[in-house]
Amino acid sequence: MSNSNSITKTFTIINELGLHARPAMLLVQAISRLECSVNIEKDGFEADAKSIMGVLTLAAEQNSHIIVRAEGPDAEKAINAIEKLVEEKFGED
Amino acid sequence: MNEERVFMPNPVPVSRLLEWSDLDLRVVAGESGLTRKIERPELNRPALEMAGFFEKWQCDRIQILGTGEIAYLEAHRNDKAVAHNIEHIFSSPPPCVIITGNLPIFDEIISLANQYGVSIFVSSHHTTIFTKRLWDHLEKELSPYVVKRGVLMDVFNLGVLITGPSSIGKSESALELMNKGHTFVADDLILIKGGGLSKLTGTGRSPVPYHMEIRGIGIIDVNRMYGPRVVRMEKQLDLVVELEDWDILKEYERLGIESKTTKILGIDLPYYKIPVKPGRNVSTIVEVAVLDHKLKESGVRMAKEFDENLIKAMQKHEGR
Repeated sequence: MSNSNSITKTFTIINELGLHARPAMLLVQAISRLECSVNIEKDGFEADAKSIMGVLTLAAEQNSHIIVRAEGPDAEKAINAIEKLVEEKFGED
Repeated sequence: MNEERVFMPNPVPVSRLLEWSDLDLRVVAGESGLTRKIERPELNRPALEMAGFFEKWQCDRIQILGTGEIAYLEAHRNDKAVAHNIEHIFSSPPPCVIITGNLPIFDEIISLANQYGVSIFVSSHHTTIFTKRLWDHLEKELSPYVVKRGVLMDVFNLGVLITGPSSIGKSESALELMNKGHTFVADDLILIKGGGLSKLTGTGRSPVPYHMEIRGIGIIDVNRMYGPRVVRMEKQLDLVVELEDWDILKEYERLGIESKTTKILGIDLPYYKIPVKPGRNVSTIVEVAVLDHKLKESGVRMAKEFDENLIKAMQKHEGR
């Protein structure tokens, strides 16, 4: 799904400990300087992906799904950065 | 503020009623009905249905049998039409049936409950107090809710939701407010429940409560740092303060004669939009917003009174 500069993509968290403090920090750092807004949705709750507490509050455990929605000129960069982190298990395991 | 996305809570299993000890319930029949779901908080006393009037029958409500219903059943124990109506009630089926005041229950009803798998409970409490307590539980569990981003604080006993874009200083102003003795409820994702009444309640959504992030420091445990005196799990929401970057091209509230509101779950809440720039003490301004609201609630309109007094003073001068 994408129009001009809004991209939505669903990811499965595969690292064993889920989206805990360190992965959340890496995720926030990866996108915080990009020129786009990024929201992460889990179980119907939506957090600002640029907020550490927001991302942590989602408590996305292993094998859970998150829906990432990026909007703005850097939307594609944001999605790619998050995809890389998720696939690389945030450098864990 | 963002458009509102309203969430509906999951239905409550009938067995949950047994966990609410203040209801003092025990199951007397239809145990297989404990897995049924309660989807609505409303209750019904089925006196009219017992008498055969089913036009407004809502079978998704918990049915409460009090003194009147039980006396009616006793008086019509051999009445075939009433027996038929009772069967209609049980076969619908409602989530469960509750008898209040430890009133006696007849074998015919017990066998209907077992036949249709509808649990019957008995409580020692009388109907009025029982329905009040049950309503309080169900309303809490079954109210729709929304999720807002911000910090929820208790300031001078009023619940304040501080919203605004990221890194505007919401968490920092919450810290300052705690330093002044105000109470922290939650940071970031705030879950706000409506209760059908004109009240909203806010609570944190995090599975690990009382934490916040302070740029440059990291994640802090507010409960450990400031102690249980300044934290609480939930708070009635009374007003919304939105922080935004000071925009020199924008006109902000200068007089305060008009009161602004914002809607959450259909309820109007007093709303203050506060422009922020470096050096502006946001926590003090939040306190002042709360005090201003408190005074307005008690009928004091500072700006309006000032204006009236000014006009009076000017009129005196006119005569000179």
